Amino acid sequence: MRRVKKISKLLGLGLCALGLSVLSQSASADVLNDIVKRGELRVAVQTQGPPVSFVDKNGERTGFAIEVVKMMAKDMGVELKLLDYDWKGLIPAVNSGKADFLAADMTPNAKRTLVLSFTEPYLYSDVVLYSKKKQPFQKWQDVCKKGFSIGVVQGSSNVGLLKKLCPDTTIKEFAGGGPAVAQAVAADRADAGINDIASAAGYMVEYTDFKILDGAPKRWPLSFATRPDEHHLLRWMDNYFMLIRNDGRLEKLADYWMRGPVWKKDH
Amino acid sequence: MDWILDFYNYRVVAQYLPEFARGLGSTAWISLFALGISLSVGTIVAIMRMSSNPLLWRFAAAYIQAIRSTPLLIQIYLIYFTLPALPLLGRRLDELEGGIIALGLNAGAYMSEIIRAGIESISRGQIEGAMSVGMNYVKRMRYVVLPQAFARVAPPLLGQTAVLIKDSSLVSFIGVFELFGAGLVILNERLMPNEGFLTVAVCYLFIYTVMLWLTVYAQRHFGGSGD
Repeated sequence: MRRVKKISKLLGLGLCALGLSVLSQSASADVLNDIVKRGELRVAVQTQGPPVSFVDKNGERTGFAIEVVKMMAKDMGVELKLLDYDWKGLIPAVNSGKADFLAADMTPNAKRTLVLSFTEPYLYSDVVLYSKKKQPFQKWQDVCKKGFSIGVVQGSSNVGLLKKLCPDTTIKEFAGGGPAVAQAVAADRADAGINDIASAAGYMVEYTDFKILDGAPKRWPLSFATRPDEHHLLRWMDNYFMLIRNDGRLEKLADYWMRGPVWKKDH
Repeated sequence: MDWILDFYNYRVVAQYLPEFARGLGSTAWISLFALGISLSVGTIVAIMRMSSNPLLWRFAAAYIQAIRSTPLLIQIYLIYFTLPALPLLGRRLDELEGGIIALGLNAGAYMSEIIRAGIESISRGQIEGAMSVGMNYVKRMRYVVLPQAFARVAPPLLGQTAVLIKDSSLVSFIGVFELFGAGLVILNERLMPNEGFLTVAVCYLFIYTVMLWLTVYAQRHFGGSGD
């Protein structure tokens, strides 16, 4: 019994600590005011790999999402502070007020939108499957059969997609992001991998014996997200995407980063 | 109960109970098998390490050093990605087998040092007594030395087992679904980190508590007073 009491005491302490961290969340009326006042835009990002967000060969953080945010801060007239988190740390970073919003290639869905407010999509990204060239697959449906295995980033939206599309295929979820899945395909641990077309195109350069299978099973919307009560910031971001879409700057960035390996020369 | 729902929505967790049950079972099985491997490997390596045959003790020492000086994740990757098809098995190890073996071999190195300390703590008189009633080396180990040694080092072995259980979450890197993966499902589908990871933490605490009870029971039942 004494041990049980001890454990419940420990649990109680943990809960108190959590409660405190909940209470200490910043409670400003309008975060845009704060951003202008402090002269700094704080953005939570993750390093999920090229071409969306990565550290290039010069040691500089760059990628499609990062360049969009850099442009944003410049147009706001404030400094940019990028806070690098693991995927698991992104949501707490935003909810605790450490970051003003998160800029990742996150896909909104009905349940996620209960927790965070997502912007209108700034880009739609095709999902593709890739495999080694020696495999007999032509289109992605060819892998969708019993006896084959598909590697996927653990916990990504593509897991649910695969379970729905290919219920008979063995699905192997790898922690460690897209590169880990590509590595598994290269080591013959999975017959094919699934990822967005831009990442897959990156692997084609790295692994010359890979091919992208025909067809795209899905097109995901990519959004930034912030706390549910930041209406002004959300409107600002939506407005900003509209502006850079209209003046062609968003298209230019997307062409450079997301639609081919051009960026590989510079980064 | 509203204040609890604010930072820990148990209604959402309840929807994911099957995932957590699957993850808990998976972690428990992985840990159990890895524990079996690590205790067997640990005992054998500990005895080899104390052997006077240089071939044996040098090999054991090299194994212990190699394991302790490299990260577990690298060991898991090496066994899973680079090990070719095994001649006896006729195929490559799958995710679960590779993960369990890597965990077992890793913990085995640490266990062996603990077990060696236990064996060395048994007084010379015990061994001489066993010899005087005509027990050979295997019998001395089996009936006199090892039972007392294990009873003595049960607490540090339990500590190492707790490390093993927590480390088992690393096998998710080679695609094995376990407890931590169940927590990630809530995070990814619902963006609720508290609900995901607090539940995972409680499940690990649960496994550890069960282990603690088992050790206390085993120590009382098999160990005697130890001296």
